[in-house]
Amino acid sequence: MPFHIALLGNPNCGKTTLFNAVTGASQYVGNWPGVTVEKKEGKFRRGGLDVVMVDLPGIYSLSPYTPEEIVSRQYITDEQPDLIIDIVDATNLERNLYLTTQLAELGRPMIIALNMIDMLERRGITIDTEGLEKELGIPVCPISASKSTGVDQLLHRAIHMLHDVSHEEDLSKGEGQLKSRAAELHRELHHIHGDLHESHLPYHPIVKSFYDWKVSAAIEAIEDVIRDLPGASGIPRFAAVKLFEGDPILVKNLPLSDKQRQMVEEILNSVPETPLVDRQMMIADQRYKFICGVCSRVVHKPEKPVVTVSDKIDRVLTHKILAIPLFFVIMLVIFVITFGPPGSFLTDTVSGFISGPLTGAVRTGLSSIHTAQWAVSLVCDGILGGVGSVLSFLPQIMILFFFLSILEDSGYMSRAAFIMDRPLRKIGLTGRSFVPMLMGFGCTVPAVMATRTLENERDKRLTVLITPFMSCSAKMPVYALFISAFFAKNKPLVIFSIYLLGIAIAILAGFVLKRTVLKGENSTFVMELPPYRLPTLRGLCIHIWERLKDFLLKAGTVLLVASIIIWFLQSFSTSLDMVTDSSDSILAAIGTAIAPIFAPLGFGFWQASVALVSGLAAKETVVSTFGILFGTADEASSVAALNSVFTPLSAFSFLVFVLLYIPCFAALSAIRREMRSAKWTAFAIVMQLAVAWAASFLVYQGGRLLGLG
Amino acid sequence: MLGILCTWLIGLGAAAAVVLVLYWKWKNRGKGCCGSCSGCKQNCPGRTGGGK
Repeated sequence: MPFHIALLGNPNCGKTTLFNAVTGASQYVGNWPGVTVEKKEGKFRRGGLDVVMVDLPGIYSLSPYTPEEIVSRQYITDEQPDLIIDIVDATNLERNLYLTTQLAELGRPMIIALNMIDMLERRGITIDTEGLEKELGIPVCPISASKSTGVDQLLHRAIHMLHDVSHEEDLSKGEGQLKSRAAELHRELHHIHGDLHESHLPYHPIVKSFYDWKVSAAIEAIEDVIRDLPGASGIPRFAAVKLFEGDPILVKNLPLSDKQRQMVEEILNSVPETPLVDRQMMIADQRYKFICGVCSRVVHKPEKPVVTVSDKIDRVLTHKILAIPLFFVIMLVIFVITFGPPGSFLTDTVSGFISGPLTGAVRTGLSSIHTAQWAVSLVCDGILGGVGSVLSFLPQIMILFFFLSILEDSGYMSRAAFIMDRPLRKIGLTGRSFVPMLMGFGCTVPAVMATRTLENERDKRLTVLITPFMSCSAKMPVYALFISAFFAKNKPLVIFSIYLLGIAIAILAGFVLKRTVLKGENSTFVMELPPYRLPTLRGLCIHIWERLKDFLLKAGTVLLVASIIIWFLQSFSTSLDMVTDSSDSILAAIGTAIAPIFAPLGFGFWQASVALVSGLAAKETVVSTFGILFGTADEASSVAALNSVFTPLSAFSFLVFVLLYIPCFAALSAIRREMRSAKWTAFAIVMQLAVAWAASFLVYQGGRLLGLG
Repeated sequence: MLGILCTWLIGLGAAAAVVLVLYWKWKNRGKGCCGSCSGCKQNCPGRTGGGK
């Protein structure tokens, strides 16, 4: 039976970094709060013990108000891990210790990992870790998870504590005086080594120092009443404090008899609430008093605060006036590198290889052994033409994600949400909605799922509705193909304008929705700005590898199958005869039926219609469909073929439609799940289609009026 | 002979790929995830066994 170690701590304190460092996993780490929403497990073996490490979502407290808090709290109270590693961000000691005080009341064996100790030193601040350990009565290990310093010592102590747990369990199973004496000797031995911990107590002894005598007496009295009740056994102190606070989940779930309920009420009445201070506030206030006392004794700050590099960078990047222009300049520079000469060179090289030597060799090889012509066409025109046309853009996707990962890991993305808060607030949104929107640059699925961290249901729905307007990475190959064909001179600028248009339409849609179907007051937005951190090579490699793996998996499954189906539909007629002209094919018949819908948008021909429909499987399929339909995998030939059916204006209108129309099926499924309503999902689909059609119509017809097409 | 074998392999391989991928997508329907759980690595449930 493996031992379970739970990693707990405030958001963005480095839990997943420690988790990855210990388990060798490569979980997604981001330098912003709220990256982990579900718990994750990793296994390792150390000191002869099999250990399962559980990475839990970051939480500020064990109150059951947000999904993350519920997930973490349920795990701790229901599963009762053998050891808790409480990761405390040393740069925010006071706030982080609040959770520690709650965890101490659970009574589980616990160790504190004082993380980011290196960053603290740079600020000229020192923490007396031994003093902190004595003050709290809980082992404290200073570490830097990102640099893996101190992690070995932390694990050593953790494993040592697990051995203690294991010995105590073994001993408790035995009977008779001999074993009791053995247990005593074992404890005495540890006491001699100064390594005794209080895991056998129902809570850490320090919890007795948190509250004044009146509150303490009330909590102890409640503890006596509920000690043996299911739901409180094993965690009587925690349950008593929560009952004192009036915790809704505990009050509902604790099976109190009428007599016990009356006793608890009498106890609570002995500590009356005032109009200004309820019992929850009393507890929080007294905890903070305790924490402030501890910090004043163990934290040594320099007389003159050191201005850190983070502070200096923030003076510029979050400047009142410069912040937003700088944000756009940074994004523009990224697009110039991705879609300018460096990115284009790599894409051209890959595309040239797939369409030239690779396709040529496969065609010659298959033909030389007299493979049937339809099979050669399926492999060369269907699979290599379809999947290959999308794979060509892999280098640009990698470059874009390299830079976005740097922004994310460095802590700039949090600033982006912060600086967008003010303009967004003016139109009824908050920076909180901007976080999932930023994640939408990667993939709409996790971006939509990230909205579950929003507490307000109306804000959540609003964010789910507008997030798909962001340019996910799957749309990028479509942009890259079209800008090469029609806007070769201004590639970065045009693609930047498409990304900006996505943000602008999302904001505009939010503005309208907030004033119509989702009316309501603005919620507050409090976001912690993490310090700037130099992205680690390992972190960047993980980000890029994940993206690459995702892309290749998609290419080998969804895109492959879509290419085969598209090839079949464009190679055979409705009477299942092979056709030489694809305009006689099944695909043409389907496309022609829906093409009139797109005629006012400038692309009312069947090829564009079927490309858009196939894009519902995955947005990259739009490119592979064009690759198959125009019988070519390389960018240069695709460009020529596209020029024969699109004008620059209709091409831009098409890009706008691709940007804004409904996302892929996977994203729609995520929307359905987060909305928990078929009605709202249907509304999202109709709204996105209507917005896409209207925006493309305005672009195309407006452009024509201006004489652009 | 080799040509006929290749033709059959390509045909059957393509048909099998279509059936398998469609079955896989159908099996993962409604999970609100792209099915490539090792892919996006963001807040998808069940990525590493936890949260399933």
